[in-house]
Amino acid sequence: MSLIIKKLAEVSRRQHSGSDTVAVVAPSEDERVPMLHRGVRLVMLRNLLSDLKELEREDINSGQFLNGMHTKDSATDWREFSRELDEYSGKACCLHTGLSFVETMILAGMTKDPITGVDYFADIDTFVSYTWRGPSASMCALILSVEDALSADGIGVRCHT
Amino acid sequence: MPHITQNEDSTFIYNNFCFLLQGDCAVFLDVLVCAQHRGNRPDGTCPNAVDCLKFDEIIRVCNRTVFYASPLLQPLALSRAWCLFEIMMTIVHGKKLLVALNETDREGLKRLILNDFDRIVTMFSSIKSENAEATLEEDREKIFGWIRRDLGADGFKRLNEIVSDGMRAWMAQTSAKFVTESKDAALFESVGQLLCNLARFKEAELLYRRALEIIEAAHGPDHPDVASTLGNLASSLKSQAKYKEAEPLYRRALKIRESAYRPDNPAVASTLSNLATLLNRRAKYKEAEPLYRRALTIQEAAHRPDHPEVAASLNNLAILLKDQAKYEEAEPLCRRALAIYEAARGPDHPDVALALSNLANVLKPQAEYKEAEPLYRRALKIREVIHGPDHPKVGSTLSNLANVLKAQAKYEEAELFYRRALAIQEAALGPDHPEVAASLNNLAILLNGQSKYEEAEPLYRRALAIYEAARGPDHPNVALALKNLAIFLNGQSKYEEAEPLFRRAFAIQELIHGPDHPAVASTLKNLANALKAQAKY
Repeated sequence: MSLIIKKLAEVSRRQHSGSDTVAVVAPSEDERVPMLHRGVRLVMLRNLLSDLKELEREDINSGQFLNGMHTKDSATDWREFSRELDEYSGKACCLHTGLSFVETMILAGMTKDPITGVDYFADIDTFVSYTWRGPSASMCALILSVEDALSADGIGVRCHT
Repeated sequence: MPHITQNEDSTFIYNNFCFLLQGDCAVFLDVLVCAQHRGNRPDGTCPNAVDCLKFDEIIRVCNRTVFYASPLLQPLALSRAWCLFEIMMTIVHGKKLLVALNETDREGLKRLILNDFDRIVTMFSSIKSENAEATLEEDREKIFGWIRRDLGADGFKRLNEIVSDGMRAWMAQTSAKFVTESKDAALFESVGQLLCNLARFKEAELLYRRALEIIEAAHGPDHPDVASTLGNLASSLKSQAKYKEAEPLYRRALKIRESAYRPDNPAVASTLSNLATLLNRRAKYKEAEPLYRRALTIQEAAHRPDHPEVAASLNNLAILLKDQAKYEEAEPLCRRALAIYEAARGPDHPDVALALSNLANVLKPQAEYKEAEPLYRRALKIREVIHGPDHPKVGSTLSNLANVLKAQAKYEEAELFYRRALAIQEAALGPDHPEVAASLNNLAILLNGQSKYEEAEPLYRRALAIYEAARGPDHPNVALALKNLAIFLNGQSKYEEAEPLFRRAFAIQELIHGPDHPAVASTLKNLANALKAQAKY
């Protein structure tokens, strides 16, 4: 069962039906969740991974996650974005807020893992540097690789796949 | 739906699929954390424009950066401007850099390390940041502007070095896990070299020993390759202050090279210099000096007079002269070495930092503090950028800088730097390293001067114990530590305890330096004061 993407997409469709391509104007900077508090915990990444698998998006890269499965090139993907073409893309999920995926989840009250009650978000302590597109850039592979690197360093999730 | 159980220690188990360990983390993944509507809001109302200016700020507060390097044989991220900038900020801010690879690459990495190590090191360390790309041209220009702002006009070159160093550090850590299965001496040596660059000398020593076994078995004990490995092994021992173990290895390497090559071969000069440096550390100045002079003669004959190898020989000889208090003789050599390095390597090279420090080290005992201080500060800045803020070379520079600050009565800043130096050295070199003893001594003297006696005394005693264990009972460092502790005890009116320490320090210094050295005169004066205080006229 999709825990995040389908729910956000539904909220976005309901609250922002006027356009499939242009987001609402975001609130001013001082009304937003400060960037430092938008750290994504591994349990949230795990649930996102599970969503991507359920939606048969295991192979999409970060650019496709954001702008739609149909997009191919970072230079043009923002022009090709449309909720009509991919309602489960990251941007489609955030059209009603004009904010980030994390902030949009927080506004939707999705701040804890529904099963364990573990917080999805915390203060950022780990920066991830990566490319959005290109060979080996699938988002699922990225998440699993980051988990593995952290695990090897004694932090976070150890996977038994 | 995952089935979950909760253990007593709050460890969650998901369907035997994964479990969360204590010490979870929270990641910054820009596709999720930053607003991403900029492209669809050409009026600029998307907060993305603000969000993507904060990456530096985020990296500063993070404990680590995870760099996703797949595909391994074509690490695309190393050609992206954003990624290079992020790695640079990670290293410059002293944060940990972890490298993530996908499952296929994780399996391939070991094979590649064992079979094609040079290729992978070259691939991960041949960075050309000036050719880096970004999807948006404006992002590229912005990032290039930051690089120039933070690293100066020569920023791309320095960025390439910084990122390459970061990647080599990862390669060293990763390779060290795998190489034990190999029988390739060159691989052991290459990984050993990477580990030495990370100041992980103990691990490097083990790899060099294995390489030596393999090469000796293959070529016999007198082959030039054996000399090279002996030299590397000795250097790793020297860096751990295992001088007695290192010396015979250098001597054996020298003997092999003198037999294999002409006496004016630069390879002979290199071993002469290494052996002389070791002898200098052991206060065998008279033995060291002719070796350095011979090395300098060879290098001057083999290269042009402004060649960096000549500068290295000048530097070495200058250090030896400084250690014998021959400051006026040492100073012009230091200045010449600095000029050569600056011209040959550019103003921000590690060799320039070394030459700056050496010159300052010669100026300080001549009370030229105002000239020495900016030299140390410049060396510190170079080393912090090149090596990161926690490298032992940064620690020793901080210590030296603190010395000249203290001499100028800038006690607050001096104490801060001494404490930072001590923390770096203890973490990087271990609690029993002579560099740690030097920092303990320095900090103790400063605290003593501020009447913080209870804090100072154990530091003096610990420094003495470290020097005695690491350098033997008759080393000048032991004499200095004895003298420092004795001066402290004298100040506490514990003259009877101080007197034998002064006597021991005097005996060592007279033996090492001869009766006319300034250090001997100074200790004699201290001893006389202690005797006078006890009415032993």
